[in-house]
Amino acid sequence: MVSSNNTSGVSRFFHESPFSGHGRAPRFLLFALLLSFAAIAADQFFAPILHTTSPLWAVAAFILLVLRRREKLLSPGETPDSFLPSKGRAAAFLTAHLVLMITARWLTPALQPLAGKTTLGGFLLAGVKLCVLLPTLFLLPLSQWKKVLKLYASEGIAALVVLITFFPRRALDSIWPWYGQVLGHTVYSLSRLLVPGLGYVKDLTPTLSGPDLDVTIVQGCSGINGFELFDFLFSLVVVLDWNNLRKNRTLIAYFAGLLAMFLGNALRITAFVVLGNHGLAESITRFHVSAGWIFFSGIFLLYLCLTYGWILKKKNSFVENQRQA
Amino acid sequence: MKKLLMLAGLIVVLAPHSAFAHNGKHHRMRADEMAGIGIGAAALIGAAGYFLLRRRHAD
Repeated sequence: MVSSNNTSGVSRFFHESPFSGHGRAPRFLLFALLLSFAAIAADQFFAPILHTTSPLWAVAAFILLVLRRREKLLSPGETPDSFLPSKGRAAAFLTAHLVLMITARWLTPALQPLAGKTTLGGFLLAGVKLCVLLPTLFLLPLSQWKKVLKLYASEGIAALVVLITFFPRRALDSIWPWYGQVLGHTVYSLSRLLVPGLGYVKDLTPTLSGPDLDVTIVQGCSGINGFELFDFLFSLVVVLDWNNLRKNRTLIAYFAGLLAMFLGNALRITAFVVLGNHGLAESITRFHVSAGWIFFSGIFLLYLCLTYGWILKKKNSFVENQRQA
Repeated sequence: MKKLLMLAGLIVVLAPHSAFAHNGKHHRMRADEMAGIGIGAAALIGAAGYFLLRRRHAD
């Protein structure tokens, strides 16, 4: 068992993290998370059918945010005196991972045809892959987990958001037949205001047929790249400014930002259609990929400029936190 | 910071040019290489912009 009433060694449970400046993170929690991260990576290495980056991103996000948290959160009476789990808990944790790995390897021939597919079976398999997180529960008593999740609720929610939204390529692929038409019609509606004679060819990959340039919207144009870029950059903001952020506003800003990236993607393709049909067809053909990246960067920066002040705490506390960091 | 922005800009602008310049029998940059350079440069630009914004708010 990890829990103990011995409070004499309380100071050993918190350590000064070089990453967090003055922050103190409970060692037992960090150890459990790091152990979990390593075990999940091992599961995926030895049973490749379990491969998905979401749980790794989520655990990594939780670790980083716990490290970033500045306040000492667990009162002395609530902390165990060793960061190591008991032998029984460690054995249960390792056994659970071993069983998961062996079962996954055994079921691989049956599950392989479903892997990566956008069918119901593929989605169920993707959900089952998240089971690699469950053995982590064995590392601490349930009461301890409840306390941890209560104290680190913001970090837990952030990790959950990461688990769900990093990176939804499969989800986007599955809704492409519908989303592709919405995107195509949106671009067509905007472009035809500036491009007379523009036509729309309905297909799985819709084509906008202009006088000088035809633009076919393939799945690569879905905006998933902008979505991923937004995830990376917003994560950077969240990790570096974690102690200065208003958490509820940050959550709203994140989801609104994803929507902004999708709208920005529609504007990006509209710009290609309009410019390509106004004498820049050759340039658009050659540079639309890199121009797209610049556009996505611009959208992100514009969005951040608009929301950064709103998601930050008041100026005084921000400057104070900056000084402490 | 300005150098970082300029470097990122140069990568974005020159990468597709080099891909087309070696067209034909010579090496041609693969789509995933292009995408890698693109996302890397875009992330650099975004990160540089964020650090500028952060510094401005800290002042």
